[in-house]
Parts: sequence; C-alpha cells; structure tokens
Amino acid sequence: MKKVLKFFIILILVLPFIFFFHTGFLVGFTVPSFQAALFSAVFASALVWPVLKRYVFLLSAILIVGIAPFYIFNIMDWANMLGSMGIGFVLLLVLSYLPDFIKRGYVEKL
Amino acid sequence: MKNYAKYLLLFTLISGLLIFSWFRYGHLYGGGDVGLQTYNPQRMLENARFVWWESAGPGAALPQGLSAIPFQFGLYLLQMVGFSPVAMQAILFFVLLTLMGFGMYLFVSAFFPGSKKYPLVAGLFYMFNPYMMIQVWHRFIHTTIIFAAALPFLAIFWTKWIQEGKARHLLFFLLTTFLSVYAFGTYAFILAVWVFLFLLTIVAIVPWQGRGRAAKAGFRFLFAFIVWILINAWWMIPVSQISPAVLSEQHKTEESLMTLITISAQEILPYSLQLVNPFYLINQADFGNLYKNPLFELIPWVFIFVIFLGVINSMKQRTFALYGIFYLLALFLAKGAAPPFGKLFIFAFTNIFALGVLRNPFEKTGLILVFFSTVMFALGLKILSEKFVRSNKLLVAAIVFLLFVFSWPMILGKVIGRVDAPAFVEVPESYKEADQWFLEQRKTGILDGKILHLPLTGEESIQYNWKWGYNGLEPSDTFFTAYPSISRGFNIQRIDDALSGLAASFQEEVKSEIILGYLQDFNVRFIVLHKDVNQAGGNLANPEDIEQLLNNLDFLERQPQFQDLVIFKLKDQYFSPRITIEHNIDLLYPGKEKLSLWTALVKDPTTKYISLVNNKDLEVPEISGYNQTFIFPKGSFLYGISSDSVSPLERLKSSGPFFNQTGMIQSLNLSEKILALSATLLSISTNPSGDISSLMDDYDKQLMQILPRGIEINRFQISGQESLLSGIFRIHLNTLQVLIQQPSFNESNRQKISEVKEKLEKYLVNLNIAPKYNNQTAEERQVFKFQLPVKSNYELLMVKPETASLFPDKLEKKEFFIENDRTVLNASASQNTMNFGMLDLEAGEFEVSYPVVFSGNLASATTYTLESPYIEVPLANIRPSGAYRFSGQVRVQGDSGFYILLYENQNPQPSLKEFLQANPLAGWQTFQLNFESKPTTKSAKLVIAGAQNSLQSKVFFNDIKVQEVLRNTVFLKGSRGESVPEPTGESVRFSRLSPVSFKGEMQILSPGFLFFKETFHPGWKLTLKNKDESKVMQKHFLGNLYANAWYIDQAGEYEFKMDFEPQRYVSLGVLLTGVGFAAIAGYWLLGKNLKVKK
Repeated sequence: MKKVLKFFIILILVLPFIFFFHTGFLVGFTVPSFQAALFSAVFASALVWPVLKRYVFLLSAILIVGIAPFYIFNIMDWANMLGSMGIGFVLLLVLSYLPDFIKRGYVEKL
Repeated sequence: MKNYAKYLLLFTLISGLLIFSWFRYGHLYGGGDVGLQTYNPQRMLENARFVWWESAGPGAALPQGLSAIPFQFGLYLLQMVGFSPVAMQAILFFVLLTLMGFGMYLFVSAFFPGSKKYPLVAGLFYMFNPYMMIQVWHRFIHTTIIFAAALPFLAIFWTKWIQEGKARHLLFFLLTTFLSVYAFGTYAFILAVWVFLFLLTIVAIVPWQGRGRAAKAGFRFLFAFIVWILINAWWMIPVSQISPAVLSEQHKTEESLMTLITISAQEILPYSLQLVNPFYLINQADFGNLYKNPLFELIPWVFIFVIFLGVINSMKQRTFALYGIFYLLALFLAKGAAPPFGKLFIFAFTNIFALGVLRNPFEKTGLILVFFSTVMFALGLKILSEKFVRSNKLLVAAIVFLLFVFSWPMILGKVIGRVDAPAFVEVPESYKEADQWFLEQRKTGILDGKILHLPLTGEESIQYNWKWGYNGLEPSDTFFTAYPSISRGFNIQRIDDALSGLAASFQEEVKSEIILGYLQDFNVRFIVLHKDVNQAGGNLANPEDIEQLLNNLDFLERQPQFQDLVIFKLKDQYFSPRITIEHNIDLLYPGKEKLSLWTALVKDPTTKYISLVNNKDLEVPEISGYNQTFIFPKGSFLYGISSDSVSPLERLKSSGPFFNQTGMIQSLNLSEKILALSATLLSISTNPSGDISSLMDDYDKQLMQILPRGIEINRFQISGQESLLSGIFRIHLNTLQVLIQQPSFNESNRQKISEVKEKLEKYLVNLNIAPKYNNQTAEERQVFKFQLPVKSNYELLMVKPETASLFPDKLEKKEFFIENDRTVLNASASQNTMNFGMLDLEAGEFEVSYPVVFSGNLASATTYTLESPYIEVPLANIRPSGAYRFSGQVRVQGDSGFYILLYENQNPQPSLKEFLQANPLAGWQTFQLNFESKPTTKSAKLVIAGAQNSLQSKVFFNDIKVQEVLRNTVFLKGSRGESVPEPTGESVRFSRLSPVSFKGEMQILSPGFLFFKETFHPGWKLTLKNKDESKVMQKHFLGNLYANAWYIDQAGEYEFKMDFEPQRYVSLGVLLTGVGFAAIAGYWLLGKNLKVKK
C-alpha cells in the first residue's frame, strides 16, 4: 500500500515535467500525450519497484528493434513512435540508475 | 610503439587507397559552401590575415577568416613547393582520413588492452559510418572534416590531462586545437567541443571518489579552459568584437527556431540512430536509389544492433558505463527537437543564448554521437563475438564488409557531389589568363579600382557552365588577385541591398549616366562579363543582353576577351578613385527602402548621397553644404481589402497547419489567441441586447496579451497582400464602430467599447500596419508613413515614372490621401520621377496613401478550361520587380483545387507554386493570388495545373485577369537651397598600406565630405593631421547608402590616415595567446621543479 502511495506521489511529481519536456503542454488525445503519460508511469514504477527495470529495458530493446521493420516498409510514423518510446524508456531508466552510476560507476544488476 | 606504427601504416594504406579512388581522374573537388579552398591558398591566406576582406568588394568584416590561417598556411607551404590544387586537396584529404581512423584506433585501444582487433574496427567504423559519408564528406564542409579528424586526438590528450594532470598532455591538447582551429570557423563547434570535453571530464569524477578528486578535475577543466581561451584569443577576440552584430543581422530568433524544428523533423530517431541525414540519402537520393532498397536499408540496423548491444552491456562495466550514457546523451542532443523529450531541447534553445548556434543539431553535434557510437560499436562487437558467435574473426570480417558495402560511394570515389554528377571542378584556363592580364595592368601603374563581375549575383553562390559545371560560393575573389572583385552578396542586408541596386542598373532602360554613376560610386575600374554563367541557377540577367548594353556605353573600352570572359575598362577620365572629396551632396533619409531605388534619384553622376548611420535617427546633422533632402517612408503597407480576396480570418485559420508543421510555435500560439479574440468579439456583436461589460473586459484582456507580440505574426504576410494582422483588426475596428452606435447599449458600455477601439487603433498605427487617418474607407490603399526631421516645403515624388503609361490616365491625375484629405494631384514627369507638387509639412509624422490601381489585363484570354494536365497563360508586357495580381472565377468538378505556377524568363524551375483550394459543391468562386516578378524578369507565364491526375476532374476559369498593381513608392524632396559651388584646385592623394590601412594627403578648399568607397563599418576611423594637430573625425556617415563618408568642417591641407580599428583586436589577441603559452610553459616548469624537489 505504501509503495502504491509512493508510486502516485512520484507520478504526480514527475508528470508535469515529462509532459512539458515531451509535449510542451500541448495536451490532447494525441500520441505524444499518451507517450508522456506512459513515460511518467514507467519512470515512477521503476523507482518504486526496481525489479521492473529489467522488463522495461527488455521492452525498450524490443521497441528499438521494432523500428527496423516499420522503417524498411516506410511506415515512418510508427517507426518514429516506437523509436521515441524505446529511447524515452532507456533515458528514464538511465536516470533511475543515476545513484548507482555515481556510487559505483556502473550498474550491478540491470 | 611498434604496434601503433603497424596500424598507422594500415590506416595510411586505407586512406591512400581511398584517395587514389577519389582522385583517379585528376580533378579538383569544389563548390558548395566552401568554394575552392585549395585553388589558391596564397590568396586565401592574404585575405584571412585581415579581419577586413578587401578582395570581396566592396569589402566586408569577416573576422572568422582568421581561424583559417594555420590551415591555409599549411596549404600555402605545399603550394610554394609546387603542388597543384588537385595534389594539395588530395594530400589534405589523405592526412585527414588517416588521422580520423588512426586517432579513433588510438583512443579505443585504451579500452581493449589485450586486443587490437576491436580498436581497428573502431577506427574503420569512425571512417566509414553513414554520418562520415553523408554529413562530413558529401556535405564537403571543411570545418566539419577537420573537426572529425581532430576529435579523437582531442579526446586522447584531454582524457590524459584530466586524469593525470601532466602539462605536456595539455600542451598536446592545445596544439591539436591550434592545428584544427579552422574547425571553429563554424562557431557551433566551439560549443560542441566543450560539451564533449565536459562529458570526458565526468569520467574522472564518476564513480565518486571524494571531493579532492572532483576538485582536482574541476581545477584542470577550468585551467585548461582559460588557457584554451587565451591561446585562441588571436582569433576569438576579433570574432567576439565583430561577429555578434553580423550574426544578429543574419539570423532572427523565430527563423532559427523554425530551422531547428524543420531539421529535427527530418532527424527523427529512425534516422538519427542510423547516423543518416535523410535529406541527402533518401529525399534527394544523391547516391542513387540503392539506399531506398529494403536490403540496403537493413544494413545500418545491423550497426544499430551492435551499438545497442554495446550500450546495454556498457551499463554493467565500469570502464564503459559512462560512455554508454554519453552515447544516449549525444543521441538526445543530435536529434534536436524530435521526440522523445524534444520540447526540452526547444526550451533550452530559446532560453540559453549559447544554444542558439545549434539550429542544426545533427550537423553541429552529430560528430559527438559518432564518436560515442564508435566506442559502443567496438564494445558491442566484442560482446557479440565473444558471447554469441563461434568464429569471431568471421563476424568481424562480415561487419567490416557491411561497413564497406554501405559506404560504397566513399570506396568508389563518388562521395563528393551527386553520384551522377560528381563535384568536379575544372576552372577554365581563361581565368588564369584574365588574372594575368589584370596583373599586367597593375604593373603598368593602375593600382586603384575594383573589378565588377557581371551578371552580378545578389547571393553568395553562383553556377557556372564549366566543363564539369560549378555550383557553390562565387569564387571570383579567389581567381582575380590584382584588384578586389565585386562579385557576390554577403548575406548582410546593407551590403546586399547596395549590390542589388548595382546589379539592377545594367538594364536597357537605365540611362547610361546612371550606370556611370554607379561605376564611379563603387570605385569600379574594370568589368568582367562572365558568359559562362548558368542563368538557371539564380536571378541572373542574360550575359548576352549585358554585353550588348556594355558595348554601347561610350565610357567603357572593350579589352581582350579570354574565351567566355569579356573584359571592359572604364576610360581613365571617367574613373573615380577609392577616396574622393565631394561637395555636391544630397541628404538622404532612406527609411526602409533599398538602394535599388537609387536609379530614381540619380540626376547626374556627380551627385552623392549621405545618410545617417542609424535608419531610425532623424536628427538633422550639423553639416552644411548639401543641396536637397530626400526622405523615404519609414514604413509602407497595403491596407484594405479587395472584394474578391479570401477573408483574413480564413487565411489565418488556414495558416495554422503551416505554423504547426514548420515549428513557428510563437506564431501558432498567437494565431490561436487572435482567433479566440475574434470569437469573443463575435459573441459580443451577436449579443447586443445582453450585458456585454464582462465580455468586453475579456476582449480587452485578450487584446492586451496579443498586442505586444502582434508584430511577430505580421511578418508572415504574403507579398502584395494586406497583412493578416491588419486585415483581421480592420474588421475588428469596423465591428467595434458598429457596436458603439448600437442603441441597445448603455453609455458605460459604449464608453468601454470606445476606449478599447481607441487603444487598438493606436497600437495598429504604431505598428505601421494601419493608417493613422482611416478616412472611413475600406478600399485598398497603399499607405506610406514618414518621419520628417524639420518643417519645410516638400515635393511629393513617385518612383518608376516609366510605369505610368500602364495605368489609367497615365497617372497624370492621381488620387491621394494626404493625411486626412482626399485629393487629386496633377503629375508632371521629370527625368527619373513623377512629381505631384509641393506640400507644406510640419516636422514629425506624416502619412500619405493612394488607392491601389490596376493595369490592363496581361492575360490574352479570360476563359479557360483545365482538362489536360496543365494550361499555360502567357503574360504579355511583364516587367522586372513588378507587383501583380492574378484573379478570376473558378468552378471545380471532381477536384479540390488547382496549382498555380509562375515561370520567369527561361528558367525551368517555377519561381512560385501555390495551391488554391476550391469547393466542388460551391459553384463559381472567386480566387486571387498576388506575386512579384524578379528584378531580372523579361518574360513570364503562369501555368495552371490540376490537383489530381484524374480524368474525371475539370476546372473551369472565367473572368481571368492578370494585372500589374501600382505599388510605386512615393517619397519627399526638400530643397535646402544651399548648393555649394564645386571648388576647383582640390586634391587628394593616397596610398594603400594594407587592406585595413590607408594614408594620404589632401587639400580641401571648403567644408565637404571625404568619401571612402569601402562598405560602411563603424570600425573605419579617419584621422586628420593639420600641422601638429591631429584629430579623429567623428561625423561618420553612410555614403551612397553603402560606403563611408566623413564630414570635414574646415578647409585646409591635411595628412590623413584611415584604419580599420578592429584589426587591433588581432594584436591584442596575439598578445593574450602569448600569455596563454607562457601560462602553460610556467605550469610545465613548475611541475618539473616540484618533481625534482620530490
């Protein structure tokens, strides 16, 4: 319960920043808004339940690999959407590992 | 060391093979933004030594050229030894290629102590990745090529310096920056390199090893930064003193933001991950359509896979973890405003001044991404070959093979230029012969004068029809070494305006004495007519027409012709030296007008013009001896609307997607606010019976948010059409006027509406988009606003009298609004103007306007049916620089609209392409399109094309009209009656000490002006010495709208000296560079001393 509460607190704190960084507050039922919400939720989850980080990493890898077929078949909107999601997740995960990097210089366990 | 030598040899061999492939035909590469850097390094070096570039007439302050000195000096040494331009270029590229590969090999070697395989692959990847192929070699920007070669060495020496703190590493780092200083000619690379070095510094701090370690790294960073600034002071100080003003003239914020977003839209992740610039590789397909083949498209994804394998594994390794993060940060930087988190980049771009140079982040910071990609690639390959594959040698060989396959244009020597049109340049021998002829002229004692190259391009680049063609920076100032060349624009408004006037004067209809006036005022002695110019590449006049014109000018002598180069010389008696004393002066307030209007002013070649330096200055200068005052409008605009044009609100609504697409966020926000404001006003006007006070308050508040920022959107007006803002608020004003008269409102409501209306009116007038005197008319008017310095009698004049015959009554009786009075004025034509009589005017603001009138129809038919793919509408009697309106009625069947294209002269590319929407259900609809012809236009046609290639679609046109619109500028002339007789017996003698220093003697018999025919710059200082008294002249004016002119208030005999003062900053910079080297030497000696003591 405590963790759920922590999750929501972090979500509320990071949501405006991620919305601003990703959409410039041009909120609507658009892909960027959806992505921003997802980024916030994933980032908050990664901080609260570190065990999830591994799966998010895996998801990011799948998303990044997933760009290639869409790119080759010239479906650029989808390629871009997958790419930005994948790299967005990786950037947020790296942010969540920052204490590890500063302390040890690397991550013991992804 | 032996091992390194072996690999150095290997990279030398690879580079040698590449160079052999690139130069196997023995041709020089050139064009683009760099022109011909290796054609004549001696000439380049001579120019680069000075911050004032005299050779590119009429002169310009180009301090960034200083940073090219070490580069050009190196080439100059090769030239002295006797290497040809091709050999010099081949040697240069060979050295740079070797440095790229070997440098990266050395850097990555530190990560793989037990293996040489992965550093070798890293070196190859750094040389052959898509970014190097497209962005470095194909783009052919030399600063980027040098930056790419220097980056690994900067990283090696910097890392060693930060980690170990040994002065020799810092010295090697500084030496590398000195040798590669040419790269900083692209200012953004200064930021890029320090971002890069900052990241490398973090490696010394993380993992956290205590404050002591961090402080040490911090100190080393700071110390190196200060020494770096000192050592680069020799070029940075002049640049910092001169360039900001130039840059602010060249680039505006919203334009920069628009560029950033447009480029970022191309560099979305699917491309930036591949290190690919799709514009060249896919859109333009410069290397052919092979890169659109799915199999070929797959290759970079193999590299991405290896890189990401490296990134993921790097996180778990102390040596690599930070490099993985740096890769992600570099990717974030290089993709710019593209998602994810692109708005963070925009926020930083608009709020941090230094980031303003990153308008094209992929181009400017992409090399950092390539650098970290290479490290991750080497790691990924190691992981892949050691953990997943049995035969790792085969894997490495396969990956290297793929690298070579993808980079085939590099291997086959097709990388510079298009695959079907390599950027080979073979400068015709005639250029050398012509230059030799000019050098002979110089030997005969002709030292003063400039060469004017015709046709003159107003832009920086030009196209020539040489054997392999040429498309790039106009290179005449490199070819012609005897005299400065006036041959191109500078992308600096004042100089370009001046040159556009000069270029426009070489037309049949311009009188010969006006042409002579121009030649004298620009200190032209020779003309080189380039018959080898490719007209299709710009707004160039036809060289055959110019030749015919020049042949008939009796003040010119035709000289020898060298193939396509025809030389003319101004007869000695007509030549006007670079420095002259002038008394026949008119005072000019140019407002916002351009020098191309000059032809309307020049009465005879002896009249010269002076203006105040700042266009906004309106004071009357404390000078005497000028004859007349010419005042041009400080603003002019079209006001009112024609019955058949689209509503301005509709135009604004339809601009929304354009603003969105091109990233004009400020304009988008503003347009949304204006649309909301219009909706508020609509709800007020549709609710006349209710209480409108709260709605009116809302309107007022919204208006206050919009008004200060309105000017931004006003820039997006279509040429020849009323501005959006003006059109929308004109409707608002009319609506507010109706509301004031609404009987159902009480007095306080009316009062409120009245106040808001007044506020709005005042604002629009101040913004120069609405007339002060509205005259209660909605008809279309051309409005001119003046600021008069003194109360006087002024004559109202109109330019381009030759156009009068096109309009009703030949404009002999023209209706004007003189402030608030509507009146008809009679015209009398004089030599170069139409005169509309005298006006007695007070000092301050003055406004005059005239109703827009139209010429007869230039289109031969008025009814057309579009059934075939397109129809042509030939335009009879089209004139250069004319304003036109294409209008009519249209009915579409099975289509959503149609395209209108304008073709001028014989240019195969349209100069205008617009899509006009039409509703197939709405029957006959009116349409209107405004356009302007180019200054060189002699013939033109409009082409109407269907939107779809459907056989069922038809478009019917009726009442088609193409009319010239009278938009001629009016201006005012005041006679001062102080005409000073030209004294006889005055003399001025001078000698040129250097491009930045002149000295001489003069005798001036009455107060007058010293004209110095180099581009105006406040840095030029005139010092007069009379007996023992010496003084710097303060009254510095703009002469003939481009040159320098000083007022000399006392007659006498003087010695004078003219210096370009900012050149002194170079001396100061060199001094500081000495201090920098002393600091590093001191640090080194101190370190040695301490070591000995220990």
